[in-house]
Amino acid sequence: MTSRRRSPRYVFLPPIGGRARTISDCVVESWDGNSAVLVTTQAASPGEEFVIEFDATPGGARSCTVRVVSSVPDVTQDVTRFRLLVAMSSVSPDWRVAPSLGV
Amino acid sequence: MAGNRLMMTGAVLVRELDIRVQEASTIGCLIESASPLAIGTIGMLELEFANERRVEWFRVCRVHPARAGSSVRVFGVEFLPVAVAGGDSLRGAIGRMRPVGTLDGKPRATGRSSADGRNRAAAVGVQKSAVVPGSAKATGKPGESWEKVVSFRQRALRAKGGNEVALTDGQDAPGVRGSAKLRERV
Repeated sequence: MTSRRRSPRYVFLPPIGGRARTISDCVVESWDGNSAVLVTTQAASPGEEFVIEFDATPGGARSCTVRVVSSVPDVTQDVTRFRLLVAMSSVSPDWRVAPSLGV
Repeated sequence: MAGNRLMMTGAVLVRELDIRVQEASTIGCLIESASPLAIGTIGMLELEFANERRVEWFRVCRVHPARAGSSVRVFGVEFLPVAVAGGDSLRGAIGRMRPVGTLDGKPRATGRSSADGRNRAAAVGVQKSAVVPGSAKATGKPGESWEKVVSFRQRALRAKGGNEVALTDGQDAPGVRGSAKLRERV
């Protein structure tokens, strides 16, 4: 099967360590300043940390770190989503007010 | 109800995870991670290669099962060419490499894979080479220093023409080597 490859493949000796940032869409259902409910297609386990990024106009994109408290699957019309309850890990004071998110 | 609608807003979830890159080519790589990644997941890869930080957008296209007793999974990812492969691009760095040997020393297979002579012709060099990261600095100039980081047995490729089979392969008879008709068929 190796002869099917279009380009040479290289093996790293040893494997190189690095970081990966995965990105997925989510919807913020509710937000009370200390916690939020997010709906996303990405599964998560309690204790896992994410960064949420918003387009909070004016002021451009902003982000805050959240920790997953619970994750509940939500199957609607054959689409599996997850409703995540998250707690804010690090958030600037002006983020604790929902209108500052630009909603 | 109106209040709930006002509260709903779009956002993106960014998850950071540690990974290790096992293999790479200009179109994708094989990474291992203890965290699960679903097929179709999109993200950005960041690693230090040849003493420089390299980044690349990727999409998970294959998930290998974890080995027994291990939580580490291996994922096949393809690079997303959303930008020019510049100096900090991993695929750019890989593309500037010049393989000179195979990992296992075995000759490259010549077999027809998909009857696509163009693809076969593009697959010059070796199929699988070894790289020792960080042992040489990338200069961005093809073939200058990369040959030093690609290791193992050197193979003598046909310099011009032919079917790009290594001379050491011996998989086509001398009498028919160079035959245009055969090159089309091999």
